[in-house]
Amino acid sequence: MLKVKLLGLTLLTLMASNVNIALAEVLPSEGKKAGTFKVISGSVTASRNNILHNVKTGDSVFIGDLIITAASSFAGMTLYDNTRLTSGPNSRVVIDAFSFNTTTHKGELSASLDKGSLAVISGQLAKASPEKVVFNTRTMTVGVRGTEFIIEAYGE
Amino acid sequence: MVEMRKFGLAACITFFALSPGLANAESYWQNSSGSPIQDSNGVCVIASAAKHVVAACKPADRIILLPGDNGKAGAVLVTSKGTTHRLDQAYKTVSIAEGGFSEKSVSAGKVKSEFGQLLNALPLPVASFTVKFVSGSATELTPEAAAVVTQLLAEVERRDAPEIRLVGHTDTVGGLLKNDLLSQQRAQTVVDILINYGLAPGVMEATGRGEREQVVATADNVSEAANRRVDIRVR
Repeated sequence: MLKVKLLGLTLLTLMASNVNIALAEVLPSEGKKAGTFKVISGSVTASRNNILHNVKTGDSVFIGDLIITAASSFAGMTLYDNTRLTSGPNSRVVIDAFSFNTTTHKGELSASLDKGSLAVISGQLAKASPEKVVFNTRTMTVGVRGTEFIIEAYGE
Repeated sequence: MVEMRKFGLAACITFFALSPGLANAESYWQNSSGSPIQDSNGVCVIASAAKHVVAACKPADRIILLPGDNGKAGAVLVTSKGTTHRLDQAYKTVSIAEGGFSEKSVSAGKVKSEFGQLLNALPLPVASFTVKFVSGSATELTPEAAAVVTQLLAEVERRDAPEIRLVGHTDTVGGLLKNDLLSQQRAQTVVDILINYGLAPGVMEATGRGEREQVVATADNVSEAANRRVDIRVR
């Protein structure tokens, strides 16, 4: 019954769909987007090409964005490689560089914390291109590495 | 299933970088020679009414390594002034002190009290789903798919600004080109179903990977139910 229902719905809407489908090796027409703001609490502003934008949930994160959180404010974002970032109150974060190939998972992520706090859960880039994932503050550079392990094989 | 494994294996590293800007400009007690007075942990003693701010006691940038979803920490390499320090244990923190790196431990409770709000504001992790198809069919899902679609819709519902990525796959029966097309059609079938349930086309992105990404690796022209699928990730 359920199968029939799903199939029926499918046939009904096959014509109506306008989602483009392609054999894409990289995310199509993403341009300079790096991800999406998922959690906005309080007042968050993005400085983009020297123009200030008020940020709301669902807005895109662009490469080069300076993300400014006000007091008691938070900005949570998910990048296209599933890196998750949240900047805390009174913070200034810049997404310096981002690229991600959805097939090979190669690319790069570079972000700077000018001031404030930033929580990061690394995504697929840190696994496939660990040397290309870097976070900077004024005094230090943080390179993200995946969990390391050793395999020993003794054969027969 | 392969998608879920991928995510499970992905390094989950959580850290904070704190710079001087986080702390309000504080003043610190100094001794008679002008040096900051530090407590047993080396932390400068803050004096709310102190007249002088001691430069050496500006809070240092620091990083705290946290356990990932699997309870194990990854690793970070912290570089400052040409020197690199490796941090690979959960609840270890390193800051840049006068004499170089200063590594300390921090309790889980302290992280929670200090950064609980920050951690709570992290977006939800990606959720992965798989629906399977009847052999050779671009439109007929297996009976189990209905329950998966229900779960998926609930997952989309509880998220702010959800984004859905669908990747169609086939088994190795048939030629490469035919399977490329079939995999795309399968992804499109799921897109259409989700549109029917009210999801906006704009939040979905569908691709096909043909027979290239097998859950169960097989020789050519092998019918394998596990490979006839659409993997769906909700971000």
